[in-house]
Amino acid sequence: MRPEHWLYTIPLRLRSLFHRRQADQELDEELRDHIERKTEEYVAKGLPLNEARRQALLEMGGMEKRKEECRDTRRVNWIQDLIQDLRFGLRILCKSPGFTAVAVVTLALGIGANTAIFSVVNGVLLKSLPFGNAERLVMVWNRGAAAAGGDRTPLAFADLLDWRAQNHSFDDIAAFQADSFNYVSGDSPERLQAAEVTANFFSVLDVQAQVGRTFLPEEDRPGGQHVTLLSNGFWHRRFAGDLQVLGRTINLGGEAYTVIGILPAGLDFPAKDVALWTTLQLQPPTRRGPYFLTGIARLKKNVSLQRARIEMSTLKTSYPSGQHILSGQQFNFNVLPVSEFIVGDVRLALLVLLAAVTLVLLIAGANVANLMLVRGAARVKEMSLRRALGASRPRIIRQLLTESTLLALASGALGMFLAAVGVRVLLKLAPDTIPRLSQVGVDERVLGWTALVSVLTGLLFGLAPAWQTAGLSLDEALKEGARTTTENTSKRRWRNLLMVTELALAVMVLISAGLLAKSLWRLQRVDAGVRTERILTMQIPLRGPRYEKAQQLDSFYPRLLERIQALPSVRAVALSNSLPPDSTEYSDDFSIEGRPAATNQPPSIAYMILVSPDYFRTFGVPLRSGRYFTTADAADSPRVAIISETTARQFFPNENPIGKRITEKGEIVGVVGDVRYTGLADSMQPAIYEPLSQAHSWDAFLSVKADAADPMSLIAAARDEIKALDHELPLSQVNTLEGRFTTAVAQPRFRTTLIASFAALALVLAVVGTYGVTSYSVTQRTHEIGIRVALGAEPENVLKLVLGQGAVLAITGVLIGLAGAFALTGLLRSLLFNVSATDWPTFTGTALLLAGTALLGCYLPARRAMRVDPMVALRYE
Amino acid sequence: MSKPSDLVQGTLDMLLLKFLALEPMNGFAVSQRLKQVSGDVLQVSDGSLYPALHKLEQEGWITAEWKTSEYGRRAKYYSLTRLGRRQLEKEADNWGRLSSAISRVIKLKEA
Repeated sequence: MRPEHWLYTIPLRLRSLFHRRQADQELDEELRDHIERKTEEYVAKGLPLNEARRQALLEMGGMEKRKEECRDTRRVNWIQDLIQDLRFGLRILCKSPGFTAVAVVTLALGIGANTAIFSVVNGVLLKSLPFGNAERLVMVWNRGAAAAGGDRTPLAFADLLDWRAQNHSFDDIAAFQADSFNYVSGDSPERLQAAEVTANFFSVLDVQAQVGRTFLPEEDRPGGQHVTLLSNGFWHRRFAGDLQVLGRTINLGGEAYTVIGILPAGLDFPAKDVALWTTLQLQPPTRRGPYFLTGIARLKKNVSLQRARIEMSTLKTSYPSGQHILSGQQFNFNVLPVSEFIVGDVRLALLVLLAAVTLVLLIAGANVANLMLVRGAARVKEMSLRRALGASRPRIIRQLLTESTLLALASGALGMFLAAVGVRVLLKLAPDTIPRLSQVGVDERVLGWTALVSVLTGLLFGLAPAWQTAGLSLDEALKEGARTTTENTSKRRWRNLLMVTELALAVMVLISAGLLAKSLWRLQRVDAGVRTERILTMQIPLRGPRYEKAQQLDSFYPRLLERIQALPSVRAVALSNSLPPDSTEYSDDFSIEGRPAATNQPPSIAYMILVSPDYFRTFGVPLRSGRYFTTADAADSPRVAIISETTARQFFPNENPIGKRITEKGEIVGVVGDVRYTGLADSMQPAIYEPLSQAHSWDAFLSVKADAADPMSLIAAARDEIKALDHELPLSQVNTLEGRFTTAVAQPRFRTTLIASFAALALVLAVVGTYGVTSYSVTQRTHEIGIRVALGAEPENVLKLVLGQGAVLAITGVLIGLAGAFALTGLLRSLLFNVSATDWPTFTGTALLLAGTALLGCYLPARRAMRVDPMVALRYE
Repeated sequence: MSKPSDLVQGTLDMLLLKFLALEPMNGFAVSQRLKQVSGDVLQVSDGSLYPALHKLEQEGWITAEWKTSEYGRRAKYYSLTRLGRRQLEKEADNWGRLSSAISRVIKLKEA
């Protein structure tokens, strides 16, 4: 049936499309022929020719209308109409370049900002992860006390073995540990981020080597061969992408590793800058701890995350028990989808930004809709003429919508350009800590989004003006053409609605920005417990045969301190395994001598901070009681420890801790002020300090307090001193302490900066919109105001009249915005720090700011209204 | 599109198909035939005739051809296609069922 149908219809459609003129001519001929014959018929019946023709035409009922109806049956009419509308729309837009430019730029700002943020969302959240079936990958940690790492407390090897032995939900289970190596090649030592993984790590990820192979099972057993995989980036950077590197050995921290494969580009797991993957080679555990692994596993095909979580909560420990976790105890695993590990809380921040920028786009769209309403008023005559000539209302709406969509598409094109620039700026501003930024760019999804957003904007904001403009009845239009005394009320209602909407949306964006800004402000003012000025910090990882024994550290560190201290303009120098605000090496459980270990109590856990004697002086950490460490606290002297105030409060609530002993760590000789080592937003964790000479760290930070000078000016001298001691030592993380603090708040600062700029844009657009609405309404009412003034109204009365109306709208908009913000800011909660989601100062401040600026937007036109000269106004037509 | 108000929806299509099934003719002839056959009962204005014809053409039920008419003028002649014949049968069937059903209802005796 259908194919035969097409046999007839397709040629017809094609003819209608491509031989339109001929088809129209035939139509014309056909109808005219009919009229002529009809006329002849009537003439034959005795009517005069004129009357006969009139009769024939009357019976036809309007030639043009019939022709249009016949054309409508062709089905392809809409294409022709569209082309016609597009042509006409382009002509109209070109005829009023001012309007077009303002509208296009306004919308392009909105669309551009929207596209820029979307392309980040697309790269970070939407693009698939570089693993096969990533939705079935989960990450596993222990849940523990905050000091132990909170919800992401690492797993012990014994945990991993227990889990594997009792597993039913997973295809395979792997684990890894972040590590780093000193890579020596030629005379430029380099610090490389690495991951030590179980042999099945890559098969769990479902990732193949691009060249070579991944690990074999025997390679992660103790005593297995030392092999390594290289990241694509590192391979290109250091080996120029040379395949000859396969099978060769490279020197990592003084040991030889054979390169067995290169991984595909874009694989940056488990961390962004991993250059190497090696095998774990773990000995069978003899006790529960230590805890250092992160688990990653692939769910079986038909097992949900929920079911896996339930199953994992039933697992029990069976491997050798440690001090506190006994065999047969229930595990408390934390199981998260891998995407959550990679993207984390950036997801919420990005979605909030996308929402904010969409509100900005809506405001921009409302402004343009307003412009179009104003212009619609100016086109009343054109529209009434069209209606009089038989154009139907839907037809006129279609034409006006085509115009607004055309406008929106032009804005989309410009917006795309702005977005391309914007994304480049964003990437430059974005902190490295945002994951997957390398994936951000313009692809077909971004282009599709822009096109969709543009068309939707065009339709959404074209609809109201089109409806308005096309909806005028004929006599109304004629009346309006005759005399513009008072404005059409429904049109005014539309405009007022737009103004209220704009203000409400702007309030919501501004409040979100305000809350985030206040959080950032609070975060930056958190007292970390140290003086951050003029301190240079760097990490000196001691690896390789020269530093295998603790004694070797004991001879290296004092010599280093001595040399640096001797440099000019160095006030103090210290070494430590941790640095504020967010670098720690490890936390550990401890017990206090003479105190029986409470059963069924969580173990006492604290961060272990190993420091050189001058650490507290260098960082300005105040002494609360007892003494600081001195050089006398050497490797062979009695073990001593210093505790932080929080530790003292928590573990020695009603006693003097000085003189008490911590098992295996020695006597407490001092209490010092609290220092934040786990991030500025985190709660204060207990910390125990030990002399670096008595406990050992191979990853010490060197911190140099400068006398007066810029600490960065000390870098070269410090580097020379270190080189003089060991020319193979790479320096990493060279930065000032202030710089480290800045980095710690880089992400909140980034998102706050972005949302603040959107808020500024929203504010400007909303105020411009308010100004536009009021200003136009004053123009429309010039005549009316003139009459009022002529009848004796004082300028103040006029001012009050105009301002009063503006104020009612502004307050309505602000109130609606407040209500909306009140309902929605709860979504921001996890991005806020020490600020409630309904923080009233922010809410009231924003409300006042917007109401104030909106009134200012009303005031300027109101002043103009005040100066209306009645004579001019009454003559004005 | 203006529809003759007193003509059941779709019946105009059927009538036009039927006329053209009898013989190919042009629009003017169709309008005269309509008047002749139905008198003043079926008032189909010239205005609604042409859009209806064009619709049938676009559906593929009738096809048009320019021929010289009996008056020596070029005119557009419509004739039924195979599809149109099938459509006519379908509509005539429907019409038959509909009208007999309605007349059965109308003939019901009032209680």
